[in-house]
Amino acid sequence: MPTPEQIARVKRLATSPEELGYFFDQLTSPDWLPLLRDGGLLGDPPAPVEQGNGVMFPFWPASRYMVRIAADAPAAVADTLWAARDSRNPRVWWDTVDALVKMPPEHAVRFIPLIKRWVHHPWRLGLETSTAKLVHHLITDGARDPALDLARSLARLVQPEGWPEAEPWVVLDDYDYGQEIPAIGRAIATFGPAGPSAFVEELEAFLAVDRPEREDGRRADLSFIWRPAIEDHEQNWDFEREAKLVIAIRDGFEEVLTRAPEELEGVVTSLLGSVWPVVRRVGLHLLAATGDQAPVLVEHVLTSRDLLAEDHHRHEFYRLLTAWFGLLSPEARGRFVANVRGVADAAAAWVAEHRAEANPEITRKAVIRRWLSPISEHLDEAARADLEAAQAEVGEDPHPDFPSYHSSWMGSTSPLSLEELRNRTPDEIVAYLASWEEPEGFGPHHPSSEGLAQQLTEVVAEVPDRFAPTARSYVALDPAYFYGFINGLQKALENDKSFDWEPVLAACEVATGRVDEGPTQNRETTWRDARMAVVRLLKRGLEGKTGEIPFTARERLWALISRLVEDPDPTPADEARYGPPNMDPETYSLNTTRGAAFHALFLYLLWHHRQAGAPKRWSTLEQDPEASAVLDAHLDPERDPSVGVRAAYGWWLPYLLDRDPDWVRDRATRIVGRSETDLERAAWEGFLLRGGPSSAALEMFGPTYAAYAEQLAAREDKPETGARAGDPLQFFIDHLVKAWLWRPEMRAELPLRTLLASGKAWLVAEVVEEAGRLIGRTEAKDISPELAAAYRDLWAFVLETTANLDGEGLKTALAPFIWWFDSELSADWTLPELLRLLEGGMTPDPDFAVFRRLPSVAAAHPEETLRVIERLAEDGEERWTLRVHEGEIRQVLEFSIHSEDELVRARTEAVVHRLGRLGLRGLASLLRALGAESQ
Amino acid sequence: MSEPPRDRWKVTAKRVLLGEQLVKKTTPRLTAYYWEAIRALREGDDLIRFSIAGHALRELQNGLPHHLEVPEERGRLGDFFNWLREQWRGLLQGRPEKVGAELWTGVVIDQPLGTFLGALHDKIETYIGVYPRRREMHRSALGRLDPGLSQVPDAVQETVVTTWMELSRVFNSATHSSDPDEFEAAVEAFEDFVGDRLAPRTFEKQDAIEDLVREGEGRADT
Repeated sequence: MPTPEQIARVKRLATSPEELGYFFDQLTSPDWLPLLRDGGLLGDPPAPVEQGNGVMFPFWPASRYMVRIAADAPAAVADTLWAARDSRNPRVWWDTVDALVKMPPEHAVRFIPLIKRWVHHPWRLGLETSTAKLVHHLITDGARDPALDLARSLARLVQPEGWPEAEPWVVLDDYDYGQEIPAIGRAIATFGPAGPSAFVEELEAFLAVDRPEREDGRRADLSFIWRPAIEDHEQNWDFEREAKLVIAIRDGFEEVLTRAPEELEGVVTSLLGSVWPVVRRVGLHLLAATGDQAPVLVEHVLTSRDLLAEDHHRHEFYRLLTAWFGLLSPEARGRFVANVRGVADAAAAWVAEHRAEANPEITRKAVIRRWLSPISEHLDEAARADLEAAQAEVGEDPHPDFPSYHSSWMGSTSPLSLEELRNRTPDEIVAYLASWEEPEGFGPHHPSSEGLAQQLTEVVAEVPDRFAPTARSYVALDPAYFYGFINGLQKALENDKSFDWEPVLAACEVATGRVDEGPTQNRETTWRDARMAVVRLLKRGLEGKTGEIPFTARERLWALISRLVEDPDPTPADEARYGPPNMDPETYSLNTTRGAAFHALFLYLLWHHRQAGAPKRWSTLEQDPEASAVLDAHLDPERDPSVGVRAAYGWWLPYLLDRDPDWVRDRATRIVGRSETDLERAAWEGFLLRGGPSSAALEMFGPTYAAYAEQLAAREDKPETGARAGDPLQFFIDHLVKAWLWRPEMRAELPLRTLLASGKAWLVAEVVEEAGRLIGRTEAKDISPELAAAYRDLWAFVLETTANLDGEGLKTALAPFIWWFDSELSADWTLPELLRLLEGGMTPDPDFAVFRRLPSVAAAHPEETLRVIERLAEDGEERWTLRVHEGEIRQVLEFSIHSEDELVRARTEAVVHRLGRLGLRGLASLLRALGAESQ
Repeated sequence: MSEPPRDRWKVTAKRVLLGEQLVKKTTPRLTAYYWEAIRALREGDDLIRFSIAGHALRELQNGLPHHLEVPEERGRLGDFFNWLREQWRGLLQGRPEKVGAELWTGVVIDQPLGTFLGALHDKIETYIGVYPRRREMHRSALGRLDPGLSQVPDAVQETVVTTWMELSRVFNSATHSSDPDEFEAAVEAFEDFVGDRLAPRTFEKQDAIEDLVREGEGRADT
C-alpha cells in the first residue's frame, strides 16, 4: 500500500510536468488515488493553450491514470472526474469517457448531458469514437435510456433547439459518422423497434429543417438522388451523412426483425406512416425482404395507388412488386393493373399540361412499360396487349426501377478495332474514313471520329513508311483524322522509326492552309489542333535524332515554318485569358501555334548549322537571312505582342549565343532589354532558365543582370512563382553565384552585392540557400581547394554585405547556411560557423540538414558537435523534431560521452538528461553504457 | 577538532556545468556568488568560511527574484525594525525605567504612547503579510527559473518553495553560528536544487520514480 511518506517524496522528486507525468504513467494500483487526491497531487486539469492560430491540448497525467484504474475503483474515479467536469480540455473529456467505458453504467448517467455537449464541440479530438464505445457499453449492460439518449445525440444532424448560444455545436464529420452510426444502429436494435425509431426521429428532424412542406401538403426529400436504393447498391454513393443514417435505420430494423419477426407488420406500418418518402422507403425495403411473412400487408401496399404514384418510392416499390406480386389475389392483381393505368393517364395529363414539347402518349406508355414489364407473366390478355404496345413504342428501359440512373465512362470509342484497321491497306483506311459517318448521340459505347482517329494514330505509328505516301489524302478528310495521322508519325519518330518526309511536308503545307468553318466550340478536333500537331512533328523532325528531316527538304520546310510563325494563335485576347500569369510564358509558348512555331524556327536554325557540319564561325544573317528577318520583325511589339513568343526567344538564346554571338549582341537590347517590360522579362527569364553565366552572357547581358538585381532588391517579398516549372529567381541567383565562384576576375561587376546588401532578409536567405544547395550537390572529389576557398570568400562576402541586417532579419537571412554545413565543404570551418550562428540565436532551417551531416563530423569534432546538440536542445520543449532525429543525435553523443575530457563527458550526460525530458527516452542507454564502463 | 575535508569543495565538472547554466539563466554577478561560496568553503579560514559562503549564497538567492524581474515584496522586516527602534527611543525619553521584567506597569497611556501603539497596531497588521509575500516572491522566481515548476500542482510547488526557503534559513544563520555538517549538506542540497531547476537529471529521476512506485505498490522487484 502506498503511504503518505511516499506521497511527500513524490512532491520532492517529481517537480516538473514531465516528471509528474512519468510518475503517473508508472502507476497501476488504485490505492494511490485517495492519497494523491488528499496530497494535492492530482492538480487541476491543464487548460487549452492558444498559440498563434492554433490551440494545444496538454495531457492531464492524472486522468490517464484514472482511465487505467477505472475498472478497479469506479466510484472514486467517477467522483474525481466529476470534480473536473468543467475542464475545457478535450483530452480530459476523452479520458473521462474512456474511463466511463470501463465502469458499471450507473456511474455514466450523470455524465451523459456533459458528453452530449463535448461530442459536438469543435475541439472534440476524436471523442466520437470513445463516445460510440460508451454507447455500446451502455447497450451491452442494458442501460436503455442513457444509451438511446447518447446514441441519438451522436446521430444528430442538426443543432438541438434551445442549444445555448455560447456553446458551439458541430455535427460529426462524414468519416466518423459513417464509421460509428450504422454500427450503433444495429446495436440499439437490442431495445426493439424503439431503438432504430430513435434514429428515425433524428432523420426526420434533419429533413424538416430545409425541406419545407409542399403546397399539396406532401413532403419531398429527394432521397432517390442521395440514396437511390435503400439496400446496398452500386448506385448509392453515400457521401451524405443522412444516407449513412438511413443505413443505420435500415440495419437497425433488419436486426429487430431478425430477433423478432413478428414485429414486421407493426414496424412497416409505422414507417409507411411517415410523411418522409425515405422513411416509407425503408418500410417498403423491409417488406420486400420478407413479404411472405405478411401477405395481407403486401397486398395492401401493392394496391395502394398513392404509393405507386410516388416517384420517390419507385425503386423499393419495384422490388416489392417483382418479389411478391405472385402473392396477390386475382382481384388485387386487377386493382394493381388498374392503378398502373390510372397513374399512367395522370402522368400523361400532367405532361400535356406542363410540357408542351413532350408527347403525353410516350409518357403514358413509359409508365405502362415500367410497371407491367416485371409482372408480364401474370397479366391477362388486355394488360399484356397494353404492355406490348408500350414496348413497341418506347423500347426497353434498362433501369426501370430508378427515377435517375448514373453511369460514367472515359475516352472515345472507335467503330473499328485496332485489329480491323491493321487488316486494311492505307488506301482502304482512307476510303473508310472518307465514307464513315458518325451516328448521332453520345454515351459510353457510342463510336466517334475521335475514337477512330486514336486508333489511326496507333496503326500509323507502327508502320509510318507505309502511310507517309498517303499523307495528302488526309488533308481532304475531317481534321480529326489528319490530326490522328500526324500524331501517328510523331509517335513513330519517338520510337526511332523513319518515313519519307517529302509527301508529309507537302500535305502539311496544304493542311496548314485549311481554316475551320463555322463555330468550333463543340468540335473535339479542329484545323487549329491539326496545325499544332504539325508544329510538334516538325520540332521532333529537327532535333537531330532518328528520322530527322533531310536537308533536301529545306525549301519546303522553310515555307511551312514561315507560314506557321504567322499563325494568329495566340490572339491578344486569348493570351490575356489563358496566358501568364495563368500559365508561365515558356509553357504558354509551347501550347500556342505561333509560340510553338518559333521553337520550330529556332530548331530549324540549329538544324541548318548542324547540317552544314557545325562550323565554329556561323552567321545567321548570312546563312538564314529570311529566318533572321522573321525574328527581327517579330521583335516589334506592335507586330507581335505575345509574351509566349518572346519567351521562345529567351529559351533559345543560350544556343544562339554559342553559335552566333554577334547576332545576339546586335539584338540583346531588343530581346531582353533591362527586363522591364513583360516581353523583355519573358525572354530574360526564359534565358535564365535555359542558359548559364558564360563570359559572353555576362558581358552581353551585364545591364540586364544589374537591372534585374535592382528590381529584386526593391521587392519586399519573394515573387510568386505559381505553378511554374522553374523559379527564375533561383536560376538568376545560380548564375550570379556560379559566376562569383568561377570567375573571380568578374566579381566586382557582378550584382551579387546588390542582392546581399538589399537589406531584404528574404532575398539574402535565397542567395545563401541557393549557394548552399549548389555546393550541396557537389561531390567531395569535385571540390577543389580553389572552390573551397571561393566558398569561404563568398561567406565572408555575405557577412560583410549583410551588416545592414540585424535581429530577426539577420537570423532569417543566414539560417540557410545549414545547406553549406550539409555539404562536402570542410567542417573545420563550417562547424564553428554553424555554432556561431546557433549561439547567436539562429534557428536552423531546415534542421534535418544539421542532423544529416552532424554524425559524419562527430568523430573529428566531438566537442563542437556536442555543443550543436546542446544548443538545439536548449531551444525549448517544442523542438519535437529532435525526437525524429534521435538516431543521429545518438551517433553524435556516442563520441562525446566517451571523451577523455571529464567536462565533455559531464556535459554529454547533462544534454542526454535534457533530451530525455524532451522525450528522447532511448538515449538513457547511453548513460547505462557509460555507467557500466566506469564500474 | 579535525579539519573538514576540503576536497568536498573542489571544482568538479558538475560544478562547472552548474556555473555555466547559472551564467546562461541568471547573471555573471550572481554566478560569481556561487563560485565565491565554493571557493570560501574550499580555501577560506575556518573561522569565517561558513559565514562567507552563507552570505554569498544568500545574496544569490535574494538576487534571483530581482534578476528574474519578480515584483519586490514591500515592507521589509528590516525597515519595520528601523521604524520601531526610532519610535521606541523617542518614547523612552522622560519615562520611568524598566522594573524587573516589567515596563511602565500602571502608567497612564498618554497621547504620544497612544499614537505609537496605534501605529504599531497598524504596522503589525501590515507586516503580517510580509512572510507570505516573501514566499510568493520565491515561488515566482523559481517558476521563472524553471517554467515547468509553475505547471505542476500547488502542493508540489509548495514543497519546492519550502525546501528553497529552508536552505535560505540555513545560509542566513551561518552568519551567526552554524553546524558545519548541516551547512555543508545544505550547500550540496542547494547545488542539487539549482541543478534540478536548470538541468534536470531526467533519467536518474525517472529511475528514482520507478523505485518509489514499485515500493508503494509492493511489487516483487522492490
